[in-house]
Amino acid sequence: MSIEPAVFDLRHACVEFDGEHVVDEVDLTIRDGEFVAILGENGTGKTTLMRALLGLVPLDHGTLRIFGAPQEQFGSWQRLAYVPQRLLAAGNVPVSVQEVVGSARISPRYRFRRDRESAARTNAALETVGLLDRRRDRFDSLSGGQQRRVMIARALTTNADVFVFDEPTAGVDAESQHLLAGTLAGLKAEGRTIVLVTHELGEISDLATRAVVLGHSDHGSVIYDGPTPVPRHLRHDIAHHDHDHVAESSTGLLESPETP
Amino acid sequence: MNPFTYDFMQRALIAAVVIGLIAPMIGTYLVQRRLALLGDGMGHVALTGVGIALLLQTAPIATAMIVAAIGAVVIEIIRARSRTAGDLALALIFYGGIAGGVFFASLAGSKGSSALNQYLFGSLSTVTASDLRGLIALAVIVIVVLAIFGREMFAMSLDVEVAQVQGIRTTIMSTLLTVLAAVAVVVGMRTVGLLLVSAIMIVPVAAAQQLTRSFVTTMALAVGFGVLASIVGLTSSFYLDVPPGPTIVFAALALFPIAALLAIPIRKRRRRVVIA
Repeated sequence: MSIEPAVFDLRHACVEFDGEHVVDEVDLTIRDGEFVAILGENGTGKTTLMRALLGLVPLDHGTLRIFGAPQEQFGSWQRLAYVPQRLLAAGNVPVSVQEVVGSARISPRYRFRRDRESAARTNAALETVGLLDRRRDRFDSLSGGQQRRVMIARALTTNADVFVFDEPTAGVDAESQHLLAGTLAGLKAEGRTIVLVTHELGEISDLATRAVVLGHSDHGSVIYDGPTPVPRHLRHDIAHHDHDHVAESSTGLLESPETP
Repeated sequence: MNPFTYDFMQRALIAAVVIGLIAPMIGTYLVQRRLALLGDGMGHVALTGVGIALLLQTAPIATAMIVAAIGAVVIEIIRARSRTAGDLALALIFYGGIAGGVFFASLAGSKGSSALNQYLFGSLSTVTASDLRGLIALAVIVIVVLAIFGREMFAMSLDVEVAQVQGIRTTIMSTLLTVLAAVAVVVGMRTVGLLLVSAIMIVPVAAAQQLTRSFVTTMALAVGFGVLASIVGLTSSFYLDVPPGPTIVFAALALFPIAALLAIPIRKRRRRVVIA
């Protein structure tokens, strides 16, 4: 059996905004089947790092390979599923829950042929997140936590090998949080690769097998890269800013104030 | 007396129904992307094409189409390159479009200037049989392109970045959509006119979205509203002896409060369902 190339292979990566290094000298190799939590206080560049992994932010220095291919040549996008915090343009024209979920399988592959699995997979994914009965409702009529569950259902329709979550717990109610933990455990058991960005330590980050903690140091952005749990002295660093967030998020008011 | 016994009215009716059909399809994507005024801009740009045609005494549809398509691509390049100044750059192109239209039409003499009016607000009597064939061909192209790429455009309209990670070529889709808006503008310039054509893209969508819960039904209802407004507007334009542009837009605007009234019982019923 040949060795599968790493899912993400980032070398000496730097991303600058206005001359400041937001992501500094990051070497990060994520292999098939890993469950990686990217942790850090706000402003340490973890969202930017995630966006760089997805090719959404160009690197100012360094290289990125996705499944062995240089990022600009990568084409197997159906192997990736990205779960953002919210949809950028939701709410201008009514969009139904099932349209949002079904949109995940839209791709150039289905320009000239029908995607026969789409409807069945959409329904199955909505069943999994407990929102099948809301499939015909307007997406923006759902609560924040329900919308997040729809976003997770969206990713589940893809049968991707790699799932990338942006702050999946921010502003999410307890029920949705619990459902998310179950979904992540299921994906992990199936051997999928999971990368999630979060500023909260807790139920979700404890599921991860590897933690990458970002901060500011002379050696670049990564201040810890190793097995979970995160060492105690760093835990304090991350959790330090976190108390207010946890309090806010339990009331559902938190919009994560992450800088890009 | 039935106005549609006249040949010119039959042609005008077909032209109006064609624009009422395709404009709201494109408008649904534009509203979703918060680009409701893009069609307006394309109309301004197409005006330069009309001005050039009047000066060269060629068919305006072809030159308007070429200039509007070039404008569409330039706008997309500007939008992709500069995030902050994009809005301002668009404004510059749009003003340039109007100035160019009036400038070239005026060079063509007084006849050119009065002809320009017909393209600004529409005209019942000027749709020739060959125009009609051109308009129908353009409309068929729009529908075929949407049938092939419409789903990708929908995903892009929901979230550009998520669509990109799905492998959708978002820059190409965005450019294609803007070019389609340019095509719709050219299809509509004969009947609705370049200054008002954007209304038939946007107003039916604004009316429809009060009554619907999904993107597809919004588009379908908006198309229905668009065709209805075109027919009603064109007929009243004949009886009132005014250009069809304003009457078609009035008819579309009238649908907005009607849809709002119809939406009240629907919303109440939905709320009851949610509570129960």
